[in-house]
Amino acid sequence: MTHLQMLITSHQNRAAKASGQQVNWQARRVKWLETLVTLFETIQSELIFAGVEPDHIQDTRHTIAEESLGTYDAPGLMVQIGTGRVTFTPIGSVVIGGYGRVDVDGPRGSVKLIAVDADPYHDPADKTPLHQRTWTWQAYPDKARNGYVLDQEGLAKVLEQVLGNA
Amino acid sequence: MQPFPDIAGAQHWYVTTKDGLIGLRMAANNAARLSDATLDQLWGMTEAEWHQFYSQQATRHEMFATLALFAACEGGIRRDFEWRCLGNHGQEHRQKFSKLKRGATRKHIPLNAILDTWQSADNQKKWFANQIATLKSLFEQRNDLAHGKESINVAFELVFDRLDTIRQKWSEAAQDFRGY
Repeated sequence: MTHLQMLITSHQNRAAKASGQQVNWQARRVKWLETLVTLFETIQSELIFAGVEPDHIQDTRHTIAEESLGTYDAPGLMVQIGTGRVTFTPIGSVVIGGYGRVDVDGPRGSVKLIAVDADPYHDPADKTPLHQRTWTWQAYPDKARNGYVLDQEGLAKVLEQVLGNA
Repeated sequence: MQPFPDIAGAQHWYVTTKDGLIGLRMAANNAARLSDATLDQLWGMTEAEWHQFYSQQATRHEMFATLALFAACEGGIRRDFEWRCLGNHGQEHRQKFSKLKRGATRKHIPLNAILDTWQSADNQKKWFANQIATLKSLFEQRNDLAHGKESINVAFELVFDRLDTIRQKWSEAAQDFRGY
């Protein structure tokens, strides 16, 4: 093979590989926004069930600009619990090691909620697109070493971390 | 000689320097005495500007810390690779790694080539190959960040968690793995 042939083949192979790996960003954005809506609906119902007055929970909107997903509006949440105000702010979907990030901030600290693959160490031969995989939420308190699952108990831990103990 | 930094060292640095940033926020809120350099930077800011400034500093700090974390990880893998190629202590998979080193056309061996060798080192341990695949994917995203792709978000704690888990599994798969 001549040097020219090698050069052409190498570029063609690279292009073929890249198109095979191409992410459907439109579908990814839809999945991300649906995941956010579900997250905040779940949090709202958990909080109301736990005794927060519905009118102490407020929906918020945030404009996010991401290179891959473009500019879009995403939902957030603001909650008044006692004297403390807690905000849930969506940061973006393209995050190293995860599929999206929401920051929870309160008077006593911050926690990151990260949407991750339900099976983060899956077989690389499994080519299911990211938007068709199962996403789940993990909570990572600021500066902590390990995260935890954001279930009902996890939500209580998150609020304890950002509000402090009563 | 100072030991090479490992990911626990990068995590310690992230936590202590973040404390400094939080300390700055507390100091600013309480009008504490700050250095002239810092005061010059903050002087005249509105509350909104201050919040934006703090948020930008925290984001930048997290980004640098995450890059340091990956650097510590890569350093550990490369040091283990060099040691493994020596083969003077019966290192596992010595022949495969020595072959990679001998066959390299350049002095610098891409990290991906080392990880590929690990991935195919033991066909019986599919679970370990999956861990290495995840690590390769993390490094691809690290490259996007390091090469200036804007708007890629980081969460230091998540990356540390992943690297730590992979390190533990790695030690199970190859008991003489020297870690990172």
